Amino acid sequence: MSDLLSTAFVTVFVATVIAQALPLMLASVGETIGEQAGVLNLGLEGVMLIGAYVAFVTTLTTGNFWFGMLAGAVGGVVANLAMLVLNVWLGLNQIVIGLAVTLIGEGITSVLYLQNYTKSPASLGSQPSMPIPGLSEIPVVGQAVFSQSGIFWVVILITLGLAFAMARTNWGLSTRSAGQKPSSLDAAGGSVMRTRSIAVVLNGALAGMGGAYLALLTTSTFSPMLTNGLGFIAIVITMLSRGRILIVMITSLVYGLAVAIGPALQVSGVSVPADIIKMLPFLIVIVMLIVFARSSVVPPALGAAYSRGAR
Amino acid sequence: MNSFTRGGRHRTATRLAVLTVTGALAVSLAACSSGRGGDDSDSTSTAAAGGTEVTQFALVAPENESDFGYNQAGIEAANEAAKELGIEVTVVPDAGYDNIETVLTQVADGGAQFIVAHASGYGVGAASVAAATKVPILIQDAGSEQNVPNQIASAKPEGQEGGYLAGIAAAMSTTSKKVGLVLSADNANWFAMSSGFAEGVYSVDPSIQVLYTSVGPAAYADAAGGKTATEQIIASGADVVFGMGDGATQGYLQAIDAASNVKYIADIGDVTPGLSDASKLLTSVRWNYEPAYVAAIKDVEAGTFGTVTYPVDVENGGMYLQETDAMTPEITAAVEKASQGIIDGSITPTIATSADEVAAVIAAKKGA
Repeated sequence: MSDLLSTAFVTVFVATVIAQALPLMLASVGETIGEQAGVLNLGLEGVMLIGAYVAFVTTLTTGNFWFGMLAGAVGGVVANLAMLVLNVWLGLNQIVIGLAVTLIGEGITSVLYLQNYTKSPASLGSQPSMPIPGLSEIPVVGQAVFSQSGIFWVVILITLGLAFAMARTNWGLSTRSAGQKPSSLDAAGGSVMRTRSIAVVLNGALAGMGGAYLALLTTSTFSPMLTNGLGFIAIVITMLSRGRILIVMITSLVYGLAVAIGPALQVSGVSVPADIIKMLPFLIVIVMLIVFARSSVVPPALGAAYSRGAR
Repeated sequence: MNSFTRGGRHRTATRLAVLTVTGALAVSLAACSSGRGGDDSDSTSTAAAGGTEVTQFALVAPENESDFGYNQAGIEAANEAAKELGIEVTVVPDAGYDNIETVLTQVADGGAQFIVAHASGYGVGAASVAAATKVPILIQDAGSEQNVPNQIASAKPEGQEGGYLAGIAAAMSTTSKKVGLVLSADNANWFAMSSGFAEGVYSVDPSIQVLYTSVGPAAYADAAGGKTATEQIIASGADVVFGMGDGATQGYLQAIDAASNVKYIADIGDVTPGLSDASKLLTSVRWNYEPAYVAAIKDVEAGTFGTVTYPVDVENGGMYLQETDAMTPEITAAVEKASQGIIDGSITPTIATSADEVAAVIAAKKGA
């Protein structure tokens, strides 16, 4: 057990929590924006996988992690075009299209990876860290938090910026109106289609970035089905967070903690069945669902196509 | 490595590709008449009383050789066995676990006179296909009670033997006196290798601490989880890590690549291409199925297939440590000495069948 208390171990533990939390956080923030606008994206898992694969290939080709993240965002947007066109513009069933996007994302990334990297699986190496002078010298958190890569800080800034924008700007108000009562937004002169379209594009970009973060920084490689259900957990977290991005951030960290704690206990000699370790993050999500189910509120127009004048 | 639970993955596109390949295989095998058998009538002729001359066989595997492990070992061994016997082999990778009866039946109908069903999860389906088609099938990890004359027999890796040898190499390489085990699934072969590994370590130095962690009950392909587990075991002070993991191995390798002064021991296959610094590979517990496949094919021809289990062990060269620059002459000599002990029966590593049994072996320091 004393191994758990060593500086090196705690540092790695905290870094693991962050590394596991951030992909989920990005996807959940994207889903939050989409759901607040009234678009339920069950294709999040597939969008994340496409973002992860595109980011992996781009980084492998260019050697640049920043290009990889950008490509992951673009890949996510492209993957989400089906949601944009079929759901927002044509008003088709969001659940059916979302599940189709998930299956397509899982299938296409697996096939492409097996086709191109079967013989010589590739490693991306580590993204160079960006130690913050002074703060990076603090024991444990200095290495675990303040020596993260630049991408980490950009992701945090984007998330906080979106939290502010959703809460305090006209764009945020319009987005929430599109999910609460789209006819009111329409009557006030806003465009429900445009608002939802922007939300879906952002949803795709953030989910793609989540996948990219998972491949580039958390895992440093890609493998088929890399997300392992993360997209669906993001959807649950979004619903529990009632549209509040700060709660999304906190919940994501709880998930990261749940992922990191299992191996930590085993390494320290505590006998924990492998089933429990694998189930722990999902158990925590289920417990949160049970505890907070009554307080979870989804926008009234979530999943409903908007048609002007329709009753 | 092999379980039904892995088959739950959504890999629709891959499955479609596999079905297409097996369909094409059926046509190509039917049309093919080259090899030892000559024409079609020869290919079904009796080589010995009750036996069938094998001119072409097939291997069906759930994944492909990119796993650096189990699937890679099976595919390589099939190709080598075909080369040694001068016969043809058709490899069907990425067959997954769904609809395996269909895949095996198509392969049998295509003309394969012997099939290797390269996953323990294929056992039930293979038995029914062998009974229906009368094509002998070699399954994996089953007990001798499942043998059916001229239909079903099993290949059985003795992982505890390879693990024991790896434990010796790890114990002679560690400077921190801590070594780690990372498993991606609850798998009987890996439990056996783990218990053997711990006993091998203790046979060199009982004061060495063996750390153990598992990514999940069936997290074979969880690269992210594999990286997390390996990072934590390294952070606990282990400077030699023995990883068992199929696709999760890629996560292990990322953690090893990022760490300094840490050596890695792989299992089953050669992971050198997956490491940016090959010197970090101490060794790999290689599984060589070729002797088992060759023996099984000869038994099919002799009409004795299905009467014995085919071991993959140290004695027949099926289980050995990969040579690397990190394997010093002293380590190699100690491993050779232990191999002799395993062959003559003076060393009998424990076969653990569960995580609890592995933990018991680690705690008991048996082998010291």
